[in-house]
Amino acid sequence: MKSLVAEESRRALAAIVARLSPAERLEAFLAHSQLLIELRRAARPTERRPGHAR
Amino acid sequence: MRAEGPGQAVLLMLEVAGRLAAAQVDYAVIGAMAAAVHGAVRASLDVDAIVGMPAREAATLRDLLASPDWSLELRLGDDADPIPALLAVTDGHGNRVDLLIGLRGLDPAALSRARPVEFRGQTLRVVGLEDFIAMKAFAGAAQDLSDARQAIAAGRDSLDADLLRQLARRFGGATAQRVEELLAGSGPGNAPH
Repeated sequence: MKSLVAEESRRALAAIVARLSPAERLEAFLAHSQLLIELRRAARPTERRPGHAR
Repeated sequence: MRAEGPGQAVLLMLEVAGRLAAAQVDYAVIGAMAAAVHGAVRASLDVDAIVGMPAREAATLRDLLASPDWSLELRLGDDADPIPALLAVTDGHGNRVDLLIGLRGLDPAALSRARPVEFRGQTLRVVGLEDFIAMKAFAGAAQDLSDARQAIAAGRDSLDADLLRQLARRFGGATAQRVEELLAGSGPGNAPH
């Protein structure tokens, strides 16, 4: 079931990408890469500041 | 067009490409950035390009790209390494462009087959579809084969299968076999349906 959902998702994305120009695909690549950075930052555990650790 | 933060290696590539073009150094974007152009958009924190110059001139390339804004690291491969030399260009935001100076098995005409792509007012040269698929088949990891599969699906109408087979054979028998499986639609690593 999980692989079927992943496959459907991949096909839907491919259909969208097929309608984009090469420049639009590069813009999507750039946006996706920046999103990856944001997600990594968000996933980073909050650092404890000295004196605030309990 | 300069990178202004992390996650913008594609903008660093634009800057590097401008420097290469000004110095008349032939290049082609490969890897995830080329995958996007060929229909497989996925995030990547670095981008790759192949440069048309002998590995023995790698130091010349490093000198050519010297900039106070970038750190440059030149790595030389040994005889068994498919990549004879690699120059890593990193900016202050951690964006990285890897310039491959040669790739064993790559058709020397690949750079002349690269397609121009207009992006943010600049022309980038991106490796052609058949060369891209052959390189991905040669790399052979699951992500590479997924990229190749998507590129075949997106470019099926324009794909020159004979050229692809010819290019794949240059990388060896295993690559040629993978390409046959990809063309048949039963590529290695396909998820079961």
